[in-house]
Amino acid sequence: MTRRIGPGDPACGFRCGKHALDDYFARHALPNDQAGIGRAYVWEASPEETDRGLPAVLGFYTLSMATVVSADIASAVSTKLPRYPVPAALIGRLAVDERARGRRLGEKLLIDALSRVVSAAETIGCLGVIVDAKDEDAQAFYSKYDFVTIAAETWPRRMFLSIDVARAAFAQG
Amino acid sequence: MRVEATIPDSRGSAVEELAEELGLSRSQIIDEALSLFVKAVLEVRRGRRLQTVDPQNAQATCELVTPTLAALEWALRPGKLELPEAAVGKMHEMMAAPAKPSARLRAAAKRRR
Repeated sequence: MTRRIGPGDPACGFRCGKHALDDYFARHALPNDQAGIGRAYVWEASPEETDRGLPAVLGFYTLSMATVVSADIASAVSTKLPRYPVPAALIGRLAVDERARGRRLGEKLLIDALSRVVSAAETIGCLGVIVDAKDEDAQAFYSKYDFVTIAAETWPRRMFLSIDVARAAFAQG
Repeated sequence: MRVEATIPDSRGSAVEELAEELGLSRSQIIDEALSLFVKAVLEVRRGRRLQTVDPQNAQATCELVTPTLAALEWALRPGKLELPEAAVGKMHEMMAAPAKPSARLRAAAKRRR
């Protein structure tokens, strides 16, 4: 299970092999969490795992809220009714330590994040989840869990999952 | 007003133990708990955070959060995300006619439950 990032976490030696993500975790995840810019949740290693030399944090993800609007000015001045801004949760970053690969931790982190979003959507307006797939591996990973690429022209690829799909996945039965 | 609610057994036992220990009725405990929760929601909506403070050194010792308070807090500052019109259109299509979750997503969610 995950918990909120704590003061000792950034220095735990987490490394996923992607410099941008490692740097974000070591330097920005905690301050951003504390400033309320984006919540960071970490997957804690068990005592046995840390005894075996694994870092105290085996994975993390960040969550924030975003309002999605069209960047196309033409759509805003067209005679059609403007699309309403879409409140959505944003999984900005998700990474697993390279020494903890092969345990489906990526899946566990993603499902944990979706579970939090589905719970939050009971309280606040949230119509879906957006992820930024940084490369083709990430895009393939999120696709396996029903995320659909909505902006395929640039990297990172923006991908979307409707809250109804996420909610239905967690429904009993 | 009379309120009926379903809560986990462990929470119910904790209320009964507290009532016994503090010499209060269950109604008094629930009334004060709700009063605190309402206050907490108001504070979080103002952009404040709830922490306990050690009176010896005035240092914050822990932050008080519940799933609802956490959701309110991270919804307070939504960033604006501008996407191409085609992407926004695709999102609206997906929301209007949501697909059924795939077997893989359902299985992963089930493992989480």
